[in-house]
Amino acid sequence: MNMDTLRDFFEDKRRETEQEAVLIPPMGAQLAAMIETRQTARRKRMIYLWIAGGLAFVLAAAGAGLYFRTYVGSFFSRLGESFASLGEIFARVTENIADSLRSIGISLATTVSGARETASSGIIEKATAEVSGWPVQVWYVVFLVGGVALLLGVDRLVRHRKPA
Amino acid sequence: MTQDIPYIQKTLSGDARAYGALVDKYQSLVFVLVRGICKTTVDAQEVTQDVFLKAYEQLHTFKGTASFRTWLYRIAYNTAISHIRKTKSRGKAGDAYMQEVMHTGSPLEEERDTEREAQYEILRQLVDELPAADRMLIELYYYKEMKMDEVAYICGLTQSNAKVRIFRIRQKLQEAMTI
Repeated sequence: MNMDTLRDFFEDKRRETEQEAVLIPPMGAQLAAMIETRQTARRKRMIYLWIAGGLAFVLAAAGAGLYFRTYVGSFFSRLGESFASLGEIFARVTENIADSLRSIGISLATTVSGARETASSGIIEKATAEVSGWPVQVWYVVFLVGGVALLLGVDRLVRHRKPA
Repeated sequence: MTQDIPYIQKTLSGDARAYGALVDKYQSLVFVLVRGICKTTVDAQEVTQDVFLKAYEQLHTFKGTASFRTWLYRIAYNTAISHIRKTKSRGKAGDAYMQEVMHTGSPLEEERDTEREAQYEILRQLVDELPAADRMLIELYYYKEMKMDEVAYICGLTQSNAKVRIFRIRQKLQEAMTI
């Protein structure tokens, strides 16, 4: 078989199909009618959708308005009260935490400086009395130098770090 | 092509009758193309109708870079391929087609000598066994007045890719025929 046979085959096949095509009635008018029907149906569907959408929007807006008017006013006042009570609770908790932290700090300071609570005086009085003594000042200096050294060390590490 | 533009414009402005005129003009061409892989006339008619409906839906995307015919062929190609994938009844349809063709007995066939007829029978079977896309490609290649760049555009291939594929299909058919 050569290429001409192949060509002849396809040409013959095409001719046969063309003969078939001649027998098919023109579908232009039928398709045009079908398209027009579809377009009309689509237009109708769009109109219905717009009407339904509009109605839904109006209903939703009316419902929302009514809801806000009825419930939201009292809701906000209740919400304000709740926030106020929450604030009070928060203030109380933070006050307690601050007190605890203050007493821990004082305890640490007195332990480090060697101050002891006596039966006659409270821990705060004792600690403030001992702060003026030299051991505390020495510790201040030690901590200060240590802190500055730490900061400088960190600064050096950050500046001289190798890129990843 | 230039004759089609007024009809396309009218269609785009909502005149379905103008589109009807375009359908009448290209109906046979699309049918012949689609018939190559659809096998039964009824199937081919349905696909042709689908092609024109799809073309109508997508007409606003027609830029005019290719001719309207080529653009329509591309839609026909894609629709026919997806139709074949959906139906998956190629074998039976192929048999039906062959019987139909044999019984139709066109004058052309009657004139053929028996040797050629035997060759055609084998070729028909071989072409039927080809994947739908390849079948469409080879049919388009042997289409009258169809340039390679048009064939490539319709099949969504590059020109060189289309050439290579056509060459391989032809080679495959030739080898099968010589065995």
